[in-house]
Amino acid sequence: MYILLFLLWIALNGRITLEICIFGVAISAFVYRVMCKFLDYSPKNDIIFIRRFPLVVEYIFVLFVEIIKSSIIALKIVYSKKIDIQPQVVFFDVPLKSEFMRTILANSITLTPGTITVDLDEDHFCVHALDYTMTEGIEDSVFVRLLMKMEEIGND
Amino acid sequence: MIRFIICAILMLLGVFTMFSALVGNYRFGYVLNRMQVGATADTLGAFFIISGLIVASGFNAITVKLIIMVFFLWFANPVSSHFLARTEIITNEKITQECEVVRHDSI
Repeated sequence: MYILLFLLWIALNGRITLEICIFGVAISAFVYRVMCKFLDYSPKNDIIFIRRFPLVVEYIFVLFVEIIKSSIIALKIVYSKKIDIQPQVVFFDVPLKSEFMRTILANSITLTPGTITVDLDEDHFCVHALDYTMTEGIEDSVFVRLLMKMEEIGND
Repeated sequence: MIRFIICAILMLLGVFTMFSALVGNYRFGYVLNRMQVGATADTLGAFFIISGLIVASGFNAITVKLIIMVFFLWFANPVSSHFLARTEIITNEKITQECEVVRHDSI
């Protein structure tokens, strides 16, 4: 995380000089300390994150593909001559334990066009979908499987 | 020249997505369906336009900044749509007329 902060600082500055690097080291150290104190970041969690990293990359890639696929479906519905859809509100449970993972899942569901997470209470999800075909197999989608794998890595 | 063409195609795709969302907004009747289409514009349209800008600017510090912008938009967009949808579901008493409610669990 510290390295990420430092890289962010460099990226926002746009060029690399000695001065910027020294300031960057100091400022990211300060920000990282604040994050450790108030936001539950710690070097231990960072190591877990690094071990999860391949899965994170895979997750982002899958999310991207899903967004494009369902956008095409949504656009087809918009330009069809007669709009023939059955909107649906689905309630279901997801066996994810940590709150962070559940939030990530809810955000990905909302980010995918055609589905919106309406409510998230403990492990009950409430999702609104533009058409009933979009909710098929939502309980054990690719997202859920990847997030489960990530949780396993963090726990052992 | 090739870079210009790629950039133009990406930007046109983005504008097309945004325009489709606008059309969809007028064609759908119910607020939640409208929001679904609006969210498409936010995710895909913004992504296409920003990636077009990335191609246009070439690889330098601006690229990184634009990628950070995409991530920020993709984090902020679900939050707003979630809150709108939640308010609608909670306050609308006749929700079953607009959409079918399915329960896959035992609440």
